[in-house]
Amino acid sequence: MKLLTWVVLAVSIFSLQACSYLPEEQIVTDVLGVYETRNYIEITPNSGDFSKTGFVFYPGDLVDPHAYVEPLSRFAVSGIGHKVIIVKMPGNLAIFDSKQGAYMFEDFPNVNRWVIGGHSQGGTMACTAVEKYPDYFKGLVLMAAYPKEKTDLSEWLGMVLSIKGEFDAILERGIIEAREVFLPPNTTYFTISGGNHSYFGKYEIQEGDSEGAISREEQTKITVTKIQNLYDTNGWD
Amino acid sequence: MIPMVGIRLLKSCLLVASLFLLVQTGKAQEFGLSVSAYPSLGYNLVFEPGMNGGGMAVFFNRQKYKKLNLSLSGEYSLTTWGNEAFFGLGINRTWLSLNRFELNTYAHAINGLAFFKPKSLYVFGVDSRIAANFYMYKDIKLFCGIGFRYTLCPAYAQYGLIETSFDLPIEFGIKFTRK
Repeated sequence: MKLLTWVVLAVSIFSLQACSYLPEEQIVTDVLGVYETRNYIEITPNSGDFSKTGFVFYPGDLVDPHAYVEPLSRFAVSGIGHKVIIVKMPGNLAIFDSKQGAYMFEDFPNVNRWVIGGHSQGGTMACTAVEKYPDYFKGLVLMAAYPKEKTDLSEWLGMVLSIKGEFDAILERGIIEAREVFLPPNTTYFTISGGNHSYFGKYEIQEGDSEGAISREEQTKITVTKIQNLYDTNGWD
Repeated sequence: MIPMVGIRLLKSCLLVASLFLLVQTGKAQEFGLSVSAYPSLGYNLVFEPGMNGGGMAVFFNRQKYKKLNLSLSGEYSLTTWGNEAFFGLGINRTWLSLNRFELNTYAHAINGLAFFKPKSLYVFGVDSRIAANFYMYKDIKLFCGIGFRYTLCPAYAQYGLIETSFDLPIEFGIKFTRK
Protein backbone atom coordinates (compact mmCIF):
# COMPACT_ATOMS: atom_id res chain seq x y z
CA MET A 1 0.00 0.00 0.00
CA LYS A 2 2.74 2.44 0.94
CA LEU A 3 4.59 1.49 -2.21
CA LEU A 4 1.53 2.27 -4.33
CA THR A 5 1.10 5.64 -2.66
CA TRP A 6 4.71 6.53 -3.37
CA VAL A 7 4.41 5.38 -6.96
CA VAL A 8 1.30 7.54 -7.45
CA LEU A 9 2.99 10.54 -5.86
CA ALA A 10 6.19 10.13 -7.86
CA VAL A 11 4.30 9.77 -11.12
CA SER A 12 2.07 12.74 -10.33
CA ILE A 13 5.02 14.98 -9.52
CA PHE A 14 6.85 13.84 -12.66
CA SER A 15 3.81 14.46 -14.81
CA LEU A 16 3.49 18.02 -13.56
CA GLN A 17 7.05 18.63 -14.79
CA ALA A 18 6.67 16.78 -18.09
CA CYS A 19 4.77 19.27 -20.22
CA SER A 20 5.97 19.52 -23.81
CA TYR A 21 6.07 22.87 -25.60
CA LEU A 22 3.37 23.09 -28.24
CA PRO A 23 4.39 24.55 -31.60
CA GLU A 24 3.39 28.03 -32.63
CA GLU A 25 1.72 28.36 -36.02
CA GLN A 26 3.94 26.76 -38.66
CA ILE A 27 4.02 28.44 -42.07
CA VAL A 28 5.34 26.18 -44.80
CA THR A 29 5.73 27.14 -48.46
CA ASP A 30 3.53 25.17 -50.84
CA VAL A 31 6.51 23.99 -52.84
CA LEU A 32 7.05 21.52 -50.01
CA GLY A 33 5.05 18.46 -49.05
CA VAL A 34 4.74 17.70 -45.34
CA TYR A 35 3.83 14.08 -44.56
CA GLU A 36 3.46 12.50 -41.17
CA THR A 37 3.53 8.99 -39.72
CA ARG A 38 3.54 7.80 -36.14
CA ASN A 39 7.36 7.83 -36.16
CA TYR A 40 8.36 10.89 -38.10
CA ILE A 41 7.42 14.05 -40.03
CA GLU A 42 8.78 14.14 -43.57
CA ILE A 43 9.39 17.40 -45.45
CA THR A 44 10.09 17.00 -49.15
CA PRO A 45 10.24 19.40 -52.12
CA ASN A 46 7.18 18.66 -54.27
CA SER A 47 9.28 18.85 -57.43
CA GLY A 48 10.86 15.53 -56.47
CA ASP A 49 14.22 17.10 -57.31
CA PHE A 50 16.36 17.37 -54.20
CA SER A 51 19.74 16.52 -52.69
CA LYS A 52 20.51 12.81 -52.24
CA THR A 53 21.81 13.65 -48.77
CA GLY A 54 18.89 13.59 -46.35
CA PHE A 55 18.73 15.39 -43.03
CA VAL A 56 17.30 13.51 -40.05
CA PHE A 57 16.58 15.60 -36.98
CA TYR A 58 15.95 14.88 -33.28
CA PRO A 59 13.80 17.52 -31.50
CA GLY A 60 14.76 18.90 -28.10
CA ASP A 61 13.37 17.20 -25.02
CA LEU A 62 9.77 18.09 -24.21
CA VAL A 63 9.31 20.06 -27.40
CA ASP A 64 6.60 18.87 -29.78
CA PRO A 65 8.28 17.77 -33.03
CA HIS A 66 5.93 19.95 -35.11
CA ALA A 67 7.69 23.00 -33.62
CA TYR A 68 10.59 22.34 -36.03
CA VAL A 69 8.54 22.02 -39.21
CA GLU A 70 8.78 25.66 -40.25
CA PRO A 71 12.47 26.23 -39.39
CA LEU A 72 13.53 23.00 -41.11
CA SER A 73 11.28 23.66 -44.10
CA ARG A 74 13.52 26.68 -44.74
CA PHE A 75 16.42 24.27 -45.02
CA ALA A 76 14.35 21.90 -47.18
CA VAL A 77 14.04 24.62 -49.86
CA SER A 78 17.61 25.92 -49.62
CA GLY A 79 20.22 25.02 -52.23
CA ILE A 80 18.93 22.33 -54.58
CA GLY A 81 16.37 21.25 -51.97
CA HIS A 82 16.54 18.62 -49.22
CA LYS A 83 14.50 15.84 -47.73
CA VAL A 84 14.15 16.46 -44.00
CA ILE A 85 12.92 13.91 -41.48
CA ILE A 86 11.90 15.07 -38.00
CA VAL A 87 11.87 12.08 -35.70
CA LYS A 88 9.11 11.69 -33.12
CA MET A 89 10.18 10.40 -29.72
CA PRO A 90 8.11 8.60 -27.08
CA GLY A 91 6.89 11.22 -24.64
CA ASN A 92 8.86 13.80 -26.67
CA LEU A 93 11.97 12.59 -24.87
CA ALA A 94 14.84 11.64 -27.20
CA ILE A 95 16.53 9.71 -24.41
CA PHE A 96 13.96 6.92 -24.85
CA ASP A 97 14.93 6.12 -28.42
CA SER A 98 18.24 7.53 -29.58
CA LYS A 99 18.53 4.89 -32.31
CA GLN A 100 15.26 5.65 -34.06
CA GLY A 101 16.93 7.86 -36.67
CA ALA A 102 18.85 4.86 -37.98
CA TYR A 103 15.76 2.64 -38.30
CA MET A 104 13.88 4.57 -40.93
CA PHE A 105 16.38 4.82 -43.76
CA GLU A 106 14.83 1.98 -45.70
CA ASP A 107 11.68 4.11 -46.04
CA PHE A 108 13.67 6.52 -48.23
CA PRO A 109 15.43 4.64 -51.02
CA ASN A 110 16.02 7.88 -52.97
CA VAL A 111 18.41 9.15 -50.32
CA ASN A 112 22.02 7.96 -50.63
CA ARG A 113 23.52 9.37 -47.46
CA TRP A 114 22.32 10.97 -44.26
CA VAL A 115 23.27 13.82 -42.01
CA ILE A 116 21.83 13.73 -38.50
CA GLY A 117 21.12 16.72 -36.32
CA GLY A 118 19.40 17.64 -33.13
CA HIS A 119 18.46 20.47 -30.85
CA SER A 120 19.46 20.47 -27.19
CA GLN A 121 18.99 16.97 -25.70
CA GLY A 122 17.96 15.82 -29.19
CA GLY A 123 21.47 16.77 -30.35
CA THR A 124 22.99 14.85 -27.48
CA MET A 125 21.01 11.78 -28.53
CA ALA A 126 22.02 12.36 -32.17
CA CYS A 127 25.63 12.05 -30.95
CA THR A 128 24.68 8.75 -29.31
CA ALA A 129 23.14 7.55 -32.59
CA VAL A 130 26.35 8.43 -34.43
CA GLU A 131 28.41 6.59 -31.85
CA LYS A 132 26.26 3.48 -32.30
CA TYR A 133 26.04 3.67 -36.10
CA PRO A 134 29.09 5.66 -37.24
CA ASP A 135 28.86 4.40 -40.81
CA TYR A 136 25.22 5.40 -41.27
CA PHE A 137 25.86 9.13 -41.09
CA LYS A 138 28.19 11.45 -43.01
CA GLY A 139 27.58 14.51 -40.90
CA LEU A 140 26.28 15.76 -37.57
CA VAL A 141 24.64 19.11 -36.81
CA LEU A 142 24.36 20.15 -33.17
CA MET A 143 22.07 23.03 -32.27
CA ALA A 144 22.72 24.14 -28.70
CA ALA A 145 23.89 20.60 -27.98
CA TYR A 146 26.92 18.57 -27.01
CA PRO A 147 27.79 14.88 -26.62
CA LYS A 148 27.46 13.04 -23.33
CA GLU A 149 30.69 12.43 -21.49
CA LYS A 150 30.64 8.76 -22.45
CA THR A 151 29.98 9.51 -26.12
CA ASP A 152 33.39 9.87 -27.69
CA LEU A 153 33.20 10.85 -31.36
CA SER A 154 36.72 12.31 -31.47
CA GLU A 155 37.85 9.70 -34.01
CA TRP A 156 34.67 9.70 -36.08
CA LEU A 157 35.36 10.57 -39.73
CA GLY A 158 32.13 12.52 -40.38
CA MET A 159 31.78 16.29 -40.50
CA VAL A 160 30.37 18.11 -37.51
CA LEU A 161 28.77 21.55 -37.22
CA SER A 162 28.03 22.87 -33.73
CA ILE A 163 25.85 26.00 -33.50
CA LYS A 164 24.71 27.82 -30.39
CA GLY A 165 23.09 31.12 -29.52
CA GLU A 166 25.14 33.86 -27.86
CA PHE A 167 22.46 34.42 -25.21
CA ASP A 168 21.50 30.79 -24.63
CA ALA A 169 20.47 30.73 -20.97
CA ILE A 170 19.53 27.04 -20.89
CA LEU A 171 22.89 25.47 -21.64
CA GLU A 172 25.30 25.16 -18.74
CA ARG A 173 27.91 27.87 -19.25
CA GLY A 174 31.06 26.49 -20.89
CA ILE A 175 29.66 23.00 -21.41
CA ILE A 176 30.03 23.03 -25.21
CA GLU A 177 33.68 24.05 -24.88
CA ALA A 178 34.22 21.39 -22.21
CA ARG A 179 32.85 18.66 -24.48
CA GLU A 180 34.87 19.68 -27.55
CA VAL A 181 37.29 16.86 -26.77
CA PHE A 182 34.57 14.33 -27.56
CA LEU A 183 33.97 15.72 -31.05
CA PRO A 184 36.25 15.34 -34.10
CA PRO A 185 39.06 17.91 -34.34
CA ASN A 186 37.67 19.27 -37.63
CA THR A 187 34.36 20.27 -36.00
CA THR A 188 33.10 23.71 -37.02
CA TYR A 189 31.81 25.83 -34.12
CA PHE A 190 29.61 28.84 -34.67
CA THR A 191 27.93 31.20 -32.23
CA ILE A 192 24.91 33.11 -33.46
CA SER A 193 25.28 36.70 -32.22
CA GLY A 194 22.18 37.60 -30.25
CA GLY A 195 20.71 34.08 -30.57
CA ASN A 196 19.11 32.12 -27.77
CA HIS A 197 18.25 28.47 -27.02
CA SER A 198 14.59 28.37 -28.02
CA TYR A 199 14.72 29.98 -31.48
CA PHE A 200 16.05 26.84 -33.11
CA GLY A 201 12.40 25.76 -33.09
CA LYS A 202 9.13 27.67 -33.35
CA TYR A 203 7.60 27.50 -29.91
CA GLU A 204 7.38 29.85 -26.97
CA ILE A 205 10.64 30.85 -25.29
CA GLN A 206 11.59 28.11 -22.85
CA GLU A 207 11.43 28.75 -19.14
CA GLY A 208 14.81 30.07 -18.07
CA ASP A 209 15.95 31.05 -21.56
CA SER A 210 16.71 34.65 -22.57
CA GLU A 211 14.76 36.50 -25.21
CA GLY A 212 17.89 36.91 -27.30
CA ALA A 213 18.79 40.03 -29.25
CA ILE A 214 17.71 38.89 -32.69
CA SER A 215 14.42 37.59 -34.03
CA ARG A 216 13.54 33.92 -34.43
CA GLU A 217 13.46 34.58 -38.17
CA GLU A 218 17.05 35.81 -38.17
CA GLN A 219 18.26 32.90 -36.05
CA THR A 220 16.56 30.44 -38.39
CA LYS A 221 18.08 32.12 -41.44
CA ILE A 222 21.60 31.96 -40.00
CA THR A 223 21.16 28.33 -38.92
CA VAL A 224 19.90 27.28 -42.36
CA THR A 225 22.79 29.08 -44.07
CA LYS A 226 25.30 27.30 -41.85
CA ILE A 227 23.81 23.86 -42.52
CA GLN A 228 23.70 24.59 -46.26
CA ASN A 229 27.37 25.63 -46.09
CA LEU A 230 28.17 22.26 -44.48
CA TYR A 231 26.44 20.51 -47.37
CA ASP A 232 28.14 22.68 -50.01
CA THR A 233 31.61 22.35 -48.48
CA ASN A 234 31.35 18.58 -48.51
CA GLY A 235 29.75 18.31 -51.93
CA TRP A 236 26.65 16.62 -50.53
CA ASP A 237 24.27 17.04 -53.39
CA MET B 1 -8.84 26.06 -24.85
CA ILE B 2 -8.65 25.17 -21.16
CA PRO B 3 -7.41 28.03 -18.95
CA MET B 4 -4.20 27.36 -16.97
CA VAL B 5 -6.11 27.41 -13.68
CA GLY B 6 -8.42 24.74 -15.10
CA ILE B 7 -5.46 22.61 -16.10
CA ARG B 8 -3.93 22.86 -12.66
CA LEU B 9 -7.28 21.94 -11.17
CA LEU B 10 -7.61 18.93 -13.48
CA LYS B 11 -4.11 17.80 -12.64
CA SER B 12 -4.85 18.13 -8.94
CA CYS B 13 -8.06 16.14 -9.41
CA LEU B 14 -6.10 13.35 -11.08
CA LEU B 15 -3.70 13.25 -8.15
CA VAL B 16 -6.43 13.33 -5.52
CA ALA B 17 -8.52 10.76 -7.39
CA SER B 18 -5.54 8.44 -7.64
CA LEU B 19 -4.87 8.76 -3.91
CA PHE B 20 -8.57 8.26 -3.19
CA LEU B 21 -8.36 4.89 -4.92
CA LEU B 22 -5.89 3.74 -2.31
CA VAL B 23 -7.90 4.51 0.79
CA GLN B 24 -11.30 3.05 -0.09
CA THR B 25 -12.72 0.59 2.40
CA GLY B 26 -15.85 -1.55 2.42
CA LYS B 27 -16.61 -4.68 0.42
CA ALA B 28 -14.02 -6.92 -1.20
CA GLN B 29 -11.60 -4.80 -3.09
CA GLU B 30 -8.51 -5.07 -5.16
CA PHE B 31 -5.64 -2.65 -5.58
CA GLY B 32 -3.08 -3.05 -8.26
CA LEU B 33 -0.25 -1.72 -10.30
CA SER B 34 0.47 -2.49 -13.92
CA VAL B 35 2.75 -1.56 -16.78
CA SER B 36 1.57 -1.59 -20.38
CA ALA B 37 3.05 -1.41 -23.85
CA TYR B 38 0.87 -0.06 -26.64
CA PRO B 39 1.45 -1.87 -29.90
CA SER B 40 -0.68 0.02 -32.34
CA LEU B 41 -2.86 -0.91 -35.29
CA GLY B 42 -2.93 2.59 -36.68
CA TYR B 43 -4.11 6.15 -36.30
CA ASN B 44 -6.92 8.27 -37.71
CA LEU B 45 -8.12 6.05 -40.58
CA VAL B 46 -4.64 4.82 -41.45
CA PHE B 47 -3.68 1.20 -40.90
CA GLU B 48 -0.04 1.35 -39.86
CA PRO B 49 1.11 -1.18 -37.26
CA GLY B 50 3.76 0.19 -34.92
CA MET B 51 4.33 1.18 -31.33
CA ASN B 52 2.51 3.96 -29.52
CA GLY B 53 4.65 4.01 -26.39
CA GLY B 54 3.73 2.64 -23.00
CA GLY B 55 2.49 3.52 -19.57
CA MET B 56 1.88 2.56 -16.00
CA ALA B 57 -1.34 2.48 -14.05
CA VAL B 58 -2.75 2.08 -10.57
CA PHE B 59 -6.25 0.72 -10.24
CA PHE B 60 -8.91 -0.14 -7.76
CA ASN B 61 -11.70 -2.68 -8.17
CA ARG B 62 -14.53 -2.75 -5.68
CA GLN B 63 -17.02 -5.59 -5.57
CA LYS B 64 -20.51 -4.44 -6.52
CA TYR B 65 -22.19 -7.75 -7.22
CA LYS B 66 -20.92 -11.29 -6.96
CA LYS B 67 -18.63 -11.22 -9.98
CA LEU B 68 -19.02 -7.65 -11.09
CA ASN B 69 -16.73 -4.93 -9.80
CA LEU B 70 -16.68 -1.20 -10.08
CA SER B 71 -13.29 -0.33 -11.51
CA LEU B 72 -11.29 2.89 -11.27
CA SER B 73 -7.85 3.59 -12.61
CA GLY B 74 -5.22 6.29 -12.86
CA GLU B 75 -2.71 6.00 -15.64
CA TYR B 76 0.38 7.78 -16.82
CA SER B 77 1.69 7.11 -20.30
CA LEU B 78 4.22 8.24 -22.91
CA THR B 79 2.74 8.15 -26.40
CA THR B 80 2.79 9.85 -29.79
CA TRP B 81 1.30 12.97 -28.26
CA GLY B 82 3.80 13.18 -25.45
CA ASN B 83 3.02 12.66 -21.79
CA GLU B 84 -0.52 11.91 -20.72
CA ALA B 85 -2.45 11.11 -17.58
CA PHE B 86 -5.84 9.42 -17.56
CA PHE B 87 -8.55 8.76 -15.05
CA GLY B 88 -10.57 5.66 -15.95
CA LEU B 89 -13.97 4.54 -14.75
CA GLY B 90 -15.69 1.31 -15.72
CA ILE B 91 -16.54 -2.26 -14.80
CA ASN B 92 -14.51 -5.36 -14.19
CA ARG B 93 -16.02 -8.85 -14.43
CA THR B 94 -14.62 -12.23 -13.49
CA TRP B 95 -15.63 -14.89 -16.00
CA LEU B 96 -13.73 -17.91 -14.81
CA SER B 97 -12.28 -18.86 -11.46
CA LEU B 98 -10.33 -22.10 -11.00
CA ASN B 99 -8.10 -22.78 -7.99
CA ARG B 100 -5.16 -20.44 -8.56
CA PHE B 101 -6.37 -19.04 -11.89
CA GLU B 102 -8.87 -16.35 -12.81
CA LEU B 103 -9.95 -14.85 -16.10
CA ASN B 104 -11.49 -11.41 -16.10
CA THR B 105 -12.18 -8.45 -18.30
CA TYR B 106 -12.58 -4.77 -17.80
CA ALA B 107 -13.87 -1.86 -19.83
CA HIS B 108 -13.07 1.74 -18.95
CA ALA B 109 -14.07 5.12 -20.25
CA ILE B 110 -10.90 7.18 -19.95
CA ASN B 111 -10.52 10.93 -19.64
CA GLY B 112 -7.31 12.83 -19.22
CA LEU B 113 -4.81 15.36 -20.36
CA ALA B 114 -1.86 15.35 -22.72
CA PHE B 115 0.60 17.61 -20.91
CA PHE B 116 1.67 20.60 -22.98
CA LYS B 117 2.72 24.21 -22.52
CA PRO B 118 1.19 26.77 -22.73
CA LYS B 119 -1.98 24.66 -22.49
CA SER B 120 -2.61 20.96 -21.94
CA LEU B 121 -4.97 19.14 -24.30
CA TYR B 122 -7.98 17.01 -23.41
CA VAL B 123 -7.70 13.33 -24.31
CA PHE B 124 -10.43 10.72 -23.99
CA GLY B 125 -11.26 7.23 -25.16
CA VAL B 126 -12.15 3.67 -24.26
CA ASP B 127 -9.93 0.92 -22.97
CA SER B 128 -10.98 -2.72 -22.70
CA ARG B 129 -8.82 -5.66 -21.68
CA ILE B 130 -8.94 -9.37 -20.90
CA ALA B 131 -6.53 -10.61 -18.25
CA ALA B 132 -5.31 -13.94 -16.94
CA ASN B 133 -4.65 -13.84 -13.18
CA PHE B 134 -2.48 -16.25 -11.21
CA TYR B 135 -2.61 -16.41 -7.42
CA MET B 136 0.85 -16.22 -5.90
CA TYR B 137 -0.58 -16.14 -2.39
CA LYS B 138 -4.12 -16.03 -1.04
CA ASP B 139 -4.38 -12.28 -1.57
CA ILE B 140 -1.76 -11.50 -4.18
CA LYS B 141 -2.21 -12.13 -7.89
CA LEU B 142 0.05 -11.60 -10.87
CA PHE B 143 -1.71 -10.94 -14.13
CA CYS B 144 -1.11 -10.37 -17.79
CA GLY B 145 -3.59 -9.07 -20.27
CA ILE B 146 -4.25 -7.87 -23.79
CA GLY B 147 -6.91 -5.54 -25.05
CA PHE B 148 -8.11 -2.76 -27.28
CA ARG B 149 -7.73 0.94 -26.69
CA TYR B 150 -8.99 3.87 -28.69
CA THR B 151 -7.89 7.38 -27.74
CA LEU B 152 -8.65 10.78 -29.22
CA CYS B 153 -7.03 14.15 -28.73
CA PRO B 154 -9.17 16.39 -30.96
CA ALA B 155 -7.31 19.61 -30.17
CA TYR B 156 -4.02 18.11 -31.35
CA ALA B 157 -5.34 18.32 -34.92
CA GLN B 158 -4.31 22.00 -34.83
CA TYR B 159 -0.68 20.97 -34.54
CA GLY B 160 -0.27 17.60 -36.23
CA LEU B 161 -2.04 15.09 -38.39
CA ILE B 162 -2.51 12.33 -35.80
CA GLU B 163 -5.43 12.90 -33.48
CA THR B 164 -6.65 9.35 -32.83
CA SER B 165 -4.93 6.08 -32.08
CA PHE B 166 -6.04 2.44 -32.16
CA ASP B 167 -3.85 0.38 -29.88
CA LEU B 168 -3.68 -3.24 -28.75
CA PRO B 169 -2.20 -2.94 -25.24
CA ILE B 170 -0.19 -5.67 -23.59
CA GLU B 171 -0.25 -5.43 -19.81
CA PHE B 172 1.55 -7.00 -16.83
CA GLY B 173 0.85 -6.31 -13.21
CA ILE B 174 0.14 -7.26 -9.66
CA LYS B 175 -3.10 -7.14 -7.67
CA PHE B 176 -3.60 -7.10 -3.92
CA THR B 177 -6.95 -8.38 -2.68
CA ARG B 178 -8.63 -7.31 0.55
CA LYS B 179 -11.90 -8.82 1.75
